[in-house]
This record gives sequence, C-alpha cells and structure tokens, in this order.
Amino acid sequence: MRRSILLCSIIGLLTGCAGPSAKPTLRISTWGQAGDDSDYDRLVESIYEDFEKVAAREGKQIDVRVEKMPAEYVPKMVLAHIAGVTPDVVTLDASSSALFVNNGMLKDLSPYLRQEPEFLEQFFPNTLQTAKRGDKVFAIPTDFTPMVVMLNKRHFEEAGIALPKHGWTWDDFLRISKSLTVRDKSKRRYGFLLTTWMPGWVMWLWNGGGEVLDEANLKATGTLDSPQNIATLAFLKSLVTEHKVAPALSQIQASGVDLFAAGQASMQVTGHWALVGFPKERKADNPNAPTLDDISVMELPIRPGRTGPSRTVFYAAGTGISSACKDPDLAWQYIRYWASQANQTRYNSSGIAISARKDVAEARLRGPLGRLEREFQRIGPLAEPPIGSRVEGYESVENAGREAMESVLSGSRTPEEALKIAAARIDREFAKEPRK
Amino acid sequence: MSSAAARKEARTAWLFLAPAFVHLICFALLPIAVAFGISFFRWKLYRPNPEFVGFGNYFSALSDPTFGNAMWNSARFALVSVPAGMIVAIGVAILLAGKIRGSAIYRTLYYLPSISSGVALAMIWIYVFLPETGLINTASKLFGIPDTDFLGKKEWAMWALCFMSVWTGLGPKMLLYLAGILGVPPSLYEAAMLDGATGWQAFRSITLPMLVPTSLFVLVTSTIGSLQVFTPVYMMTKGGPEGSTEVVGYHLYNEAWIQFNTGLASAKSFLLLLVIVVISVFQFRLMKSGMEGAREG
Repeated sequence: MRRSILLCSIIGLLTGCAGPSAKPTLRISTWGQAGDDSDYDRLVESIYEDFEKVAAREGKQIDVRVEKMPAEYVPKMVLAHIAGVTPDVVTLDASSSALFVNNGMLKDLSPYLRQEPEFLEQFFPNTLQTAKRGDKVFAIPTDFTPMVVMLNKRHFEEAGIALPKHGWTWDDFLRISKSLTVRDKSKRRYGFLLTTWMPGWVMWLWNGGGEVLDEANLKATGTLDSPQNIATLAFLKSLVTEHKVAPALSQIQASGVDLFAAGQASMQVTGHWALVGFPKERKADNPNAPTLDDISVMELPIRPGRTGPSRTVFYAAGTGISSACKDPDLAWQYIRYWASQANQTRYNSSGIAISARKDVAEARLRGPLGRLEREFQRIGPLAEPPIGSRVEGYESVENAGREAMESVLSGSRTPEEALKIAAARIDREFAKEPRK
Repeated sequence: MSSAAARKEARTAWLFLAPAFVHLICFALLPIAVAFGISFFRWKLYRPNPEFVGFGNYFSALSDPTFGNAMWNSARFALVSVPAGMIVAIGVAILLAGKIRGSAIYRTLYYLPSISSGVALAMIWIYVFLPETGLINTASKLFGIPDTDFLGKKEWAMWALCFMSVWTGLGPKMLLYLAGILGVPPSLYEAAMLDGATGWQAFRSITLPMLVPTSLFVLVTSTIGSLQVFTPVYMMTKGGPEGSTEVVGYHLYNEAWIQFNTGLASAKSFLLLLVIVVISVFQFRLMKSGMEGAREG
C-alpha cells in the first residue's frame, strides 16, 4: 500500500513538473491597467481570450498572454527591446511611436500587406501616416480622436447665444467666452477651460499661424518662439488674466474637480475620450453636470486674418509586431483579428475613441451617439498626426511647452520670454551631442 | 587557536559573508562600474553602436543649465530639510526621553512613516497640500489665512517638499538622538543640578555637546539621502512648477528614461557622486574634529 502511494506520488510529481505546456504563447503588451475589472478591462480581456478560440478553430492551440504596463510604458518597452524580450505584439501610442518605428523595434508589415492590397483601404488615411515610412508600414491603427473644442450647449442656450459656426475666429471665441462667463460668485462659471498640458493647446499655435519645430524637426528656436506663437500665447494668457473668461491655474487646482464635467466651464479642448465621462440622463444630485445631450463639438477657431482651414491634431493607438517576435505569422494573424470589423465593432463599443476602420466608425453614426460621432468624424479625418509620431524624444518638447504655459499663466514670464526659454531648452535636448 | 581552526573559522566567516558579497558585487559594484564605463560613451539606450567621447559627457553636463538648476534645487532641498529635520528630531527625542506615558507608542508612531511606502506617503501629502480642500488650507482658513496652492506655486513647492521630508524622515533621526540622549551619564545632570544649573543650561552645556557625534552622523547620512531624493518629487510635482523642484534625482531619471541619453545620464550620476563624496569627506572631517572637541570639552 505504502509503495503504491509512493509510486503515485512520484508519478504525480513528475507529471506536475513536466514544465509549461507546449502551446506557443503570443505575448501582447499594452499600457492598460492591471486587471482593474472595469467594463473596458472586461471587454478587452474577452477579446484577447476569443483569439485563443479563433486560433483553436484553425487548429492552433495557443496561449495569449497580455502584459499590462500601467505606467512608464515606453521605458519598459525600450528595456525589453534591449534585453531582446519585447512582447510579440506591441500596442503603440502614436504620440510616442517615432521611437519604436525609427529604431528597428518593429517589423515591417508591408510583406503581409502586399498579399492583401485592400487591407489598408479600410482605414482612415490620416491614421495610417503615424507608422508609415515610405513604402513600409510598422503598425495598424486601432482608434483615434481629433482634439476639438467641446461645448456645453445648455450654457449657450442659457446665455442666449448661438453655437459657433465653422470658420469661427479668435474674436468670435472671445466674444462667446465672455457671453458664457458668469461672474456671480454663487453661480461662478467660466467660458473656457485652458490646460497647461501641451497636447491640449499645441493646435492653438497652428491656428495662430505658427509651428512648434522647423521643417526638419531639428530645432525649435526661430519657430516655437516666432512672433505668431508669442501672439497666440498672449491671446491665451489674456483669456485668464485680462478677460477672466478662463480660470487661473490656482483656481483649477483649488476646485479639485473637472470644471467642465462639473458644469462650471462651458468650453474646453479635448478628445473623444471625454464623452465616456458624461451621463446619458441628468442626475438629481448633480443637476449642473452636462449630459451627453448637452455636449457638442467644433473645430478650433483660427486667428483673425489667417487663411486656410482650422488645424488640429489627432491622438491614436495601434498595434505592431516587435522585431523580437519569433512567430510573426501568428502575430499578424492576431493583428488581423484585432483589426477585423467584428472585433473593432466590439472594441469600439467602449466609446473611448473613433475606430480607425471606416466601416466601424460609420456604423457608430447610426448608434445612440450618432450626432456626436458625426461631429467628431467630420473633424477626425482632417486632423494631423501628432508630432511625436515623427519626432523621437518629443516628450521634452511637451515638458518645455507645459513649463512655458505654466510660467505665462502664473505671470512669472511674458509669452516671449517663456517661449524663448522653451525653444532654447528643446534645442539643447535635441542637440545633446557631447563634445569630443 | 591552531592555524587549522583559524582557517576553518575564516572559511565559515567567508561562507556567511558570501551571499552579501555576491549581492553587493552583482547589484551594486558591477552596475556602478558599467555605468562609469557608459559615461564615456554617447549612447541612446535603444540604439546600437555607442560612440566613445572621452570626458565629453562630463563637459556637456557641466555646461547644461538644466543640470545646474537641478543641482541648485537639490542643494536648496538639503540646506532646508537636513537642519530642519535634525532640529525637529532632537526636539521629539528630548520629549520622548522624558518619563511620559505611552512613550513606546509615540516612538512607534513617529517611526512609522520611515517604514511606510514612499509612494503612499507622497499620495497622502498631496491631499495635505491640496488647495482649498487640503488639510493645511482647511485648517488655515479657520484662522482667516488665504488659500495657498503649495505644490502649484514655484514660491511654495520646494518648501512643501522640505516640510514633508522633515516628517517622513523623522523616525531614524529621532531614534538615533534618543539613543544619544539616553546614553548621557545621569551623573552629569546630577552634578549640574547641584551647581544650580537650569534645564536650558543643562541642555546647552551637557546634552548638546554629548550629542555632537550623533549629530554629525545624522548630518552626513541625511545630506547624502537628501541629495538623492526622488520619490516625492516624481509623485507630487514632477519637477514643476517651472522646474522649481527638479532635483538631481528626478533630472537623472528624465535624462536616462525619458530622453534615453544613457551616457550623459551616467556622467551626471558620477558628478552627483563626486559632490556627495566631497561633502561627506568635509563632514567626516568636521565629525572628527567635533568628536575630539567634545572629548576635550
């Protein structure tokens, strides 16, 4: 008896220690939260799990392992690349994708795309630009959002003014902001909510006739500190300090809430993701908070006298195959699955962004948020890729821009001083060439 | 002891020391040596083929105004937080050295922040410093003091970080001072009392001189720690507003992990090391002469 128990134990141990299953593993990296059990998390998890079933139906037994990195995604991916352990499929943020695309961290997908020439035609053309270098394509876009002016229509009705029209100028914007601002302390409301976060105001520079970097993307001096940009920053500053239609930084901090979502600001520059936070119905305990019905979006206004259409940026996500991937065919199969119409319809139901697939985005126009989707999709295809999709180390530009805006709004520097300092700092960062 | 027994004892000693040595070599000395080597190369971490530039990175670092600003901010942080931390620690240690009820509980409470997660502490202090709804602003409003954005104003942000570091770093300093105070022979106080000394005179003429070695030790370790501060800056201000709290630790992090200038970041790290070594040597000399002075006194 004792011998048979011992034998069984040994067999059990041996089978238990037989090592990992022989199934190939597909590792996918993403910056999502580590299992926060939100609706979004559950949705994405179910999509990953279903790929295992899809592969099984085709006779492939695989394990999908999702590696979530809630913070410091780019440094972690760079370290993984150096160590040669990058996950097979890499989720990319277009704003930082230049580093991945320009440095051989991703496989060129064009050999696969040549076999399916119609594949890329399903996507909005501007979203493809972020990871395209000549004939090579390094990632397939998932979704995107243009930066727009989001309006609280109810505040417009209460102020008795019409919604802005296409082609509106800064003069119109200022006039509207003044009309929307309520100075009564008990009902304090600002016409506009300005951010120091550079991805949220860079498009004001463009619409003022300026640029951030020179044409070669090598220098900021002479471009970021141009007279046009100085005038733009002076205009934005005047909204806070002179016209008082936007809250000061300290007032934003002191409120401790999102002033637009709380109904205390009437306009802000933001993306599609903001829609997720608005309720469908008005809540009795928070009657001032805007509902989805109250929201409308419009392109950014342009400087009076500037010709040409309003310009804005889009922020996007996509997927690529890492250069360390040992089974790129399987990874490509996953990307095709991830980008498929059925799957993107499921994924896009989260409402966080516009699907990069035209057919899925068009289907959303017929959904319950059709009006807002239409407004976003009118602007989205015309939006420009983020500069970080072309320029490595663009974070230093955004940091310098944020500091410049902070110093201007706090009154410690003039727009000219702030932009000259920021431009010089960016140039130093870009030209960090140690002397021999 | 026979030579065979001595050899055996030495072998046993090395055996026990080996894990610590291996750990030290693998995770401290070797990386430091590699980083020193890297500091002579121009190298974006994700690109192959680093280029040898000699002392080029060191020259670049010395002419980089953002690095200069970071060094200055670290110095400001150390100059405020170290003396303030020492004064508060002496005060608390004196209170706890007295015969008060529940002193063991107080000691534990004061030590607790030192064994808590730096990230969790920073999160708590963000709420303490919040404008309008934060603990300090809520309390100050009761006295009619206007609202202050401690972490959002460049005039206040560094002070706020120093204030926080005094509290979070109190435990070990307080414990060292407590040991120092309890180590003072009671006969000295008895003799002073017989001579008619007041409590303040006894503190000034007995306690403080006897605490000179402890103070110098605390000074050296606190200065080194304050020059390496990172977590509260990363969590609470990200070096802002307008770079007013960008200390060297945070600057190095940005250089290495946001810009990926690995060679330059390594060179800057060794410049920081050099500064720390110079300050420490100066402080050790001060310690030596202070201890000699205390013995002679």
